Amino acid sequence: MKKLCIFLVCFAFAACIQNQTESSTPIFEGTTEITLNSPAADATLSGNFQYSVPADVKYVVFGLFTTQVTTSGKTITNPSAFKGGSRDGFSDFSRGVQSSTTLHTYDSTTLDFTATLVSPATCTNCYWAIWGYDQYGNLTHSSRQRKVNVP
Amino acid sequence: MSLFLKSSSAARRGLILLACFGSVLPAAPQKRAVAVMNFQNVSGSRSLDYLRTALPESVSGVLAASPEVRVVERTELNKVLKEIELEQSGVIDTGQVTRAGKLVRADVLLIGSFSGNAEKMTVTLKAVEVATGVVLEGRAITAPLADILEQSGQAALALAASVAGGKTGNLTVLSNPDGAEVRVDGVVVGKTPVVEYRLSAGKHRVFISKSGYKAEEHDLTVRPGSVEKLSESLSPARKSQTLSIGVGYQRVIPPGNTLQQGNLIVGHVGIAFGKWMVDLTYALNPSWDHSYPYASSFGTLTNSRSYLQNSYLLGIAFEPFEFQYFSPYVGIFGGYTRVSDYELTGSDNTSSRLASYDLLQLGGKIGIEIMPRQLVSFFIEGRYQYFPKSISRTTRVSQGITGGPLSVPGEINLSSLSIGGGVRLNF
Repeated sequence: MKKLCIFLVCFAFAACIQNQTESSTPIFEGTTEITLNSPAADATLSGNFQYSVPADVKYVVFGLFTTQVTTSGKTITNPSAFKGGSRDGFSDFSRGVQSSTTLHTYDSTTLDFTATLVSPATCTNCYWAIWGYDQYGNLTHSSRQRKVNVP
Repeated sequence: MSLFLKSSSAARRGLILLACFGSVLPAAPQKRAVAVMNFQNVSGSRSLDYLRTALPESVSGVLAASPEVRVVERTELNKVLKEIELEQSGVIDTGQVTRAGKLVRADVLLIGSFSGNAEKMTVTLKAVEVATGVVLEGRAITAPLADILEQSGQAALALAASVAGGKTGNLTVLSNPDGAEVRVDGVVVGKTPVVEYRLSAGKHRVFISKSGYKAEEHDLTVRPGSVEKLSESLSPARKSQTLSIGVGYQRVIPPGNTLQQGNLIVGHVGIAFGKWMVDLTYALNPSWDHSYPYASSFGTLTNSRSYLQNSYLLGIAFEPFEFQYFSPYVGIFGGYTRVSDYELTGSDNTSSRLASYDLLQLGGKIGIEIMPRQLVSFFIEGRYQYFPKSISRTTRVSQGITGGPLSVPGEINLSSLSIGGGVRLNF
């Protein structure tokens, strides 16, 4: 009985690690945190993604991932998980507010989003995160990743 | 009036011999013949008697090289002098010389005397025209015994113009301060002011020296019948040992495009030993830009980078020439250099150090010091700083929006040229 209880606790912990609704730290180590406002963790998007970026962040990137983001240092190690995203430089990008209808597809050859929009942007058990660069291109800020359902 | 001091049968025989000898001397109408008589020892020291013949021998030898006069061979002349018993006495007055000169068919007799001691000896030369008995010119030379032969010869050469009846001019030498020793063609002619010193027309070298002041040397041409005036303001001589402190600025010009031009601020303390100077130098390059652009998803960005360079150098320099207002020098240096690589980040341009390197630096310099003997002097200098070892230098490439830029290892050598100048205080 005791062994069974230990097994169940470990299983529950592992499951929690694998599918946590929001990470406890920014996705990139050594960066200042960007605050995610809405939707809340594991909620369904209604309206837009909203977040708060400090004014000293020069370039902002929004990313929606089909699975949890994995990073090493300051590099995303699973870019294939990109569902879509947007960034400063696109005409339809608005800092602090991101619509699911203006997400751009990711191109693994250019390591950048393309002009093509993601359609449909429907995504279940996805994760979203924000990160930002200074004027010199240094990755200085990032948010936690938060689970979301995009209808 | 007797012809010689000692009138004797020997003297008469000498006269006959002189007449016979003179009759066989070759005629040279284009050059005046000069006979250099034995000098008179008035020093009172018999140990200097050898100069009675040594001096005229030296003078004859020098005069023989002059194209303006012909010198009567002293070997033959001595035979005659011996016969007429003037060899030992050497005491010859102007009247005697005139008649004796005619016997040897000399146009001019050069007679002389010497006095003093080994430390300071004075030689007096007189050129007497045989035909008239007139003293054409006289010179007095004062020099140590070691130099007296050469100086007498040079003085005799200076007399050659007058002896030859050639064209002469005069030289006046002034100096500030006065009291400087003046040498003309190596012969001391006096101390400034030297007024209308007679010289053969032509080129001469004048050397002016005074203790505590830098010696000056000039080549000048004396024109016939004119008075050449040389006025020299003597500048203080550089002390044998001088302490100097200085500051300077150098513009660093590196090869290639990786490093931008930089600013090197230099401070040094030096000690000069004559023409050599040893110095300790601190050189600071506070921000040596090596920024570069790179492509990113947000356009072309700049990785703002700079080196902070601190150098502690020991150098030695040599001044091959020294002029009144400037003094060129060359030198080498070497020492320790610490280079730190900084990068700007954030909107507030925070400077963060990426790495530091300890390097050996060697180099050379060449420059000109302006007003080198003054309390304040200036210098213009070119330097080449050589680093035997390169340092690593990472550059970055963008990885798009998938993270921060990646670092790419590389190397750079900081060897470079710099040009600048500064000011020194000399004590």
